[in-house]
Amino acid sequence: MKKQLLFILPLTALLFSCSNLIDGVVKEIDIPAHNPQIAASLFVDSKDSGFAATISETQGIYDTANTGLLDSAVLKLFRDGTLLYSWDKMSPFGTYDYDFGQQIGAIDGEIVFEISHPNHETVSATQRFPEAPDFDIELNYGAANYYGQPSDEIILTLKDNPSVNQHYLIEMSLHYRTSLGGPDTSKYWQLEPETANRNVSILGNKGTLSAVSEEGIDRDIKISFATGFNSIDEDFLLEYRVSISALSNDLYAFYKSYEALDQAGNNPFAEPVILFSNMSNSIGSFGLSTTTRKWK
Amino acid sequence: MKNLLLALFCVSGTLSFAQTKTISGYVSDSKTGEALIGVNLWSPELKLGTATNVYGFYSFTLPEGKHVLRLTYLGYANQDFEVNLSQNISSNFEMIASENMLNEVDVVASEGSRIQEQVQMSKIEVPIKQLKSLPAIFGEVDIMKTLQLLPGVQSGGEGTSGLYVRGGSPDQNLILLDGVPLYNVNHLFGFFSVFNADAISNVSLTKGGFPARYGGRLSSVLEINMKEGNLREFHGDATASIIASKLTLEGPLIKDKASFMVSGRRTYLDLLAKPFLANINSQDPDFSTSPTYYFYDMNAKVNYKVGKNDRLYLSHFQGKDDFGVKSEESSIQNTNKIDFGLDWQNSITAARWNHQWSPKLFSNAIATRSLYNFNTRIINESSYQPNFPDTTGQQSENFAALYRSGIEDYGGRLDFDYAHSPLHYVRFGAGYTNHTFSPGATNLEFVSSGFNLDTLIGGADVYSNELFAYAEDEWTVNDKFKINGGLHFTTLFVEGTTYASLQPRFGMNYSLPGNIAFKASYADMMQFVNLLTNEGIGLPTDLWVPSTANIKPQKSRQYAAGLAKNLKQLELSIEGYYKEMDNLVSFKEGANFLFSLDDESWEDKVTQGSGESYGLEFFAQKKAGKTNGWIGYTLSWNFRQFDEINGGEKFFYTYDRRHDFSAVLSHDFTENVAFSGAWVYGTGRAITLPEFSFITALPNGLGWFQGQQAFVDRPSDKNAYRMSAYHRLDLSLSFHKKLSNYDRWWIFSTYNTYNHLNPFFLDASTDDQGNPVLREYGLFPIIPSIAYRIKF
Repeated sequence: MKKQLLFILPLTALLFSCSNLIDGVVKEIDIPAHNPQIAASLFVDSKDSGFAATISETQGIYDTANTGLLDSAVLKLFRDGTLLYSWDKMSPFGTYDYDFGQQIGAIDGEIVFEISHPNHETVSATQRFPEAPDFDIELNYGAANYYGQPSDEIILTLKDNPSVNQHYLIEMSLHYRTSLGGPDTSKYWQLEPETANRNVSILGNKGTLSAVSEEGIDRDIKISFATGFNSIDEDFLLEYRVSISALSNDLYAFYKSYEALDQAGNNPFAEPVILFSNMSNSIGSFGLSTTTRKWK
Repeated sequence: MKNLLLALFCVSGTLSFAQTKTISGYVSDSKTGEALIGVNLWSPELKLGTATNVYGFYSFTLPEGKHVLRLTYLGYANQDFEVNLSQNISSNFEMIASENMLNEVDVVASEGSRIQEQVQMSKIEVPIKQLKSLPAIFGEVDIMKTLQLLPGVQSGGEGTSGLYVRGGSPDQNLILLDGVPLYNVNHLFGFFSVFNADAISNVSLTKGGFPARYGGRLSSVLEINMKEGNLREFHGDATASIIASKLTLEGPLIKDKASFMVSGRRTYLDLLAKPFLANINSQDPDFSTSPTYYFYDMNAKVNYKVGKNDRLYLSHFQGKDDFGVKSEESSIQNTNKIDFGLDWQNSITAARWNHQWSPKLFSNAIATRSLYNFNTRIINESSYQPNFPDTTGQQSENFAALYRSGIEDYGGRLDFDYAHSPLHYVRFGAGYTNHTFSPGATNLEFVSSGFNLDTLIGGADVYSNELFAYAEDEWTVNDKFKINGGLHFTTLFVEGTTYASLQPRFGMNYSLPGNIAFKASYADMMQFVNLLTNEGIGLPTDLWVPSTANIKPQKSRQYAAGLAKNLKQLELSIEGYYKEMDNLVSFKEGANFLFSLDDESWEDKVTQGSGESYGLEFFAQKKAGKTNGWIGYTLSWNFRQFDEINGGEKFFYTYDRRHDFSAVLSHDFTENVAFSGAWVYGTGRAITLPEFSFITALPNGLGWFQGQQAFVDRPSDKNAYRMSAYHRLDLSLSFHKKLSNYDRWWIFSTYNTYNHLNPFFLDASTDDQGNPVLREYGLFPIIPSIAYRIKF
């Protein structure tokens, strides 16, 4: 009998385990409770003539209610402790807008963005406008090669601001004019030049020049590229417009972080991404940029 | 420093000897002739001792004159003998194993083998006999699973073979099989390790206090030696279990001069499944599927005593896992074939030459090759007949994605042991390794009507050259105080960049009243290889990558201190440690490696940061006797900090485990019936969960406009949550019978005996009513197994 038991018991356990292996071994666990918080975000450029802030309330992933925009918030901007602007109306588009009719410019001093709401603790973040970008554009007609064809070459030189970690967002477009100093036509192209410069960190579409960073190393950043257009062959006059925004460290961190989030998508093998925040409750962002535009 | 050393001499009353002579030779097993590693040779009178090295060689320098010496080795009878050292003597010894003795009283740990006498701390040896008596899973005793039961060593969770030593990651363990680094130790996705216990003679794990001879990894050195093979008789050992069988053969090639050992193991799940699959496939003529999985490994070793002073060894290991699923679906118009597969393989080869230059000087030269490859394939072939009125005929589309990665090393090293005097045992040596890394390349092929694509994405090979040299001295300052000090120099040449590091190593043992040893150590380490891993998946898709011009080498500093004492047959130790790590490598947020199709290199996807771990380990071990085993407990904290992860905030490492407890017991009820059990408990793994969502504004630029908004899911802070605690009981009962020509065993065992769900991963989804639920999935319920073993 003992010998029989020795075989019967393991056999029973084996059958039991086979059923578990096939059905899966699974246990439900408690869902962590979530305490809703304010998520505030505002990005301001020196060329902006108005603000568009987004204020929402966080919603637990496992909650069935929808994530919602938050009404009744009061938004304030301070400069060195002095109130600059205060606004509290949410537009039909879900943004808290403030229009002051002219470009705000790069305001000196410490800018504090503060959001209060009757149901939440007040949150805030502090930023400074970065110094305006100092850059040169060198244009060489037909000097570059673009997929076997002659192309205009642009060399951008972003000058170093010693001991400041500089980050730039670069936008370029090509506009057609009828004559020198003549009126702009409605025809233009947004340029997405490519660069192989490994000394700069590039955001956005991979390989397409959209944002660069010193990455903590004081240096002039020099970038050359073919525009894909050859001024000599065109019937119209071409005007290259370059708009470069110096980004605050936090705004650059937001761009990078959002890019990582975008890349990860729903890929289960991707590392989780925590969207950058500089707000006092670690949710949301406040960023400032200063833009300079040049034509060639 | 000079003053400090001088003071040590003065305060402690230095031992000194005028005239010395040396006795040297080899110690081997009396029955098999195999070398014995770590045998203690001890002078009770002088309270001095030495031990055989990994080749069984010893050299003991003593004052001229008569001495009584004692040989002690766990599981073997002590031997006392008298020598008259009027000149240098060469003498080989043979020891008798306890299983060949009637009186077990002789088999006790003697003074020479006491941990309280050893300078080395943070080192654990598990006797193979004890290891083989532990519960077997599917009839297989697994070395890595056993090591996971030791204090300071954690498993990565259910079904993984990786070791997480004192807060380190698995790539920080230098796993040496016969002195050759092995890069992947997993079979069956980590459920088994590649080490076949029947082919192994010795296992030791060093977690800290690394002597200068070790280098190249931050967290541990696991040394595993293959059996050399019986020099006197032919023997075999075979085991059949539910999923695999193995066979080991060993014997003399030339009696007492040359021997061989060969051992092989293969699973047969694929063979067993064939009839069932045939039955399933016969039920639907339009669909067939054929999943396959097998692994095999093979160990082989030959050794040859060329003369009195020279020995040659050749060892080889080869292992492979192959998993695949082929399916075919067909109808009148369409046919669709899918072939998905993963395979990975290890291969190492080592050729060694031992030479005794003089009674005091011994050398070992070794040439090695280590190869690890991982391949994945997805092949899809489809053909279809277009509908009328399209008369173009049969159309076809073929798609193939082949992913491969790997690492190949060629190396050599030369080590010397120099027994300078009774008080100084010096080791020095140097080595070189050439690495070729293939860090992941995807080959895409797409062929369709009128369109062909064949492209290779990423994965350019990286070559590097690594050099090291070391020197260390184990110095007996006096009968209470011993020191092991040394320097390890290492340098790497990669992509035009040179990294160099001079690493000080220090260990000491001071005997306190009550024969309690106070031990302390410091080790500075650097490593030039990194394993990129998606935490916790445990797939062999993990990628070995080198330090490069952009990726700096990992570094660590470890401080440890503790007390050790032998209490009769029990070894007791308590150790505290603190470890700092720099330049650790991790994926950036959002990055992944699996079938990455963009043009970024792997370097763009990783970031470097630091780590910190500290803890307290308690260990009580009884290695021999009818009842043996151990109890281990670790209390530890383990953190990581990366500027680009978790907002730059420090976070718990995923394998931070506050409490880790294990109890292991083996007991021989009679000569023929043996029982063993192991219970393990560990704090749940730290994990990141999706936590909440919100709406954010997007700044101008990159195609966004002012006022644009986006929904964002935000995970919890990195590793802010815990899985449920892990605990498991394994039991085993074996019945032995001695028959006329062979011995046989029936082995019954259960894994996870009380069927506890140990979480492997978490999943957030919805239940039948659409309510959100969070589920923990386990891998293994109770798994009973039976195995039959014969030894002849």
